[in-house]
Amino acid sequence: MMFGAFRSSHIAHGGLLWKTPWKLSTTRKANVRARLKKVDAVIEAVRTSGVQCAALTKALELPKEYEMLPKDKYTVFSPHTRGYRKGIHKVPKWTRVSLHCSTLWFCFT
Amino acid sequence: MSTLAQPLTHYKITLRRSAIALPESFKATLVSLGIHRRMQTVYHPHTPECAGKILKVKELVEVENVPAAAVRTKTEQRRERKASKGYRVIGSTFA
Repeated sequence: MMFGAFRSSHIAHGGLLWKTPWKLSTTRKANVRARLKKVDAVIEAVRTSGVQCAALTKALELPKEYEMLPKDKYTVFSPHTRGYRKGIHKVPKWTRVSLHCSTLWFCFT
Repeated sequence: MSTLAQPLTHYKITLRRSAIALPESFKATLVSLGIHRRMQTVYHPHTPECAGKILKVKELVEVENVPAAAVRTKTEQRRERKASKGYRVIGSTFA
């Protein structure tokens, strides 16, 4: 059935339907940039402390927020998506894991 | 202003984001830093070991470099954020 109360829809068949938007809203993108800047501030604080360690050398190779392209801020590599890119918000725990280096190893444009 | 002239010797580390549902190693790193709950602040001297731990959990913490004079223990932090009573005992009639 296509119409009425008993029409076949995703909700009628499966119950709950969660929809993840395809792209981030302006506000969510602003939050991404704010989080990236906070990570940059942590790396900068460790750098100015003057210690030398392998983790710091590795962290300093990461691009800063202002150096990153919008493409790298809001999308990540995906082998299954057309164009090899998917929204960064599709990644589990994406607000708390390091994702701003996803293009260091993948050269798909 | 006197604190600005002192050399910065310690990291002031505050946990802003929880490590819940992240891999166990993140939680273990926080525990090794002495952090057990969100918004907790700890102080550690500038060492490569501590720097490595901070960078492991860099998405979760906020870090500031502070002089040795600004280092506070857990008890001192609690005492500093305690509200003042609003009065001061200046003497006793019965003494």
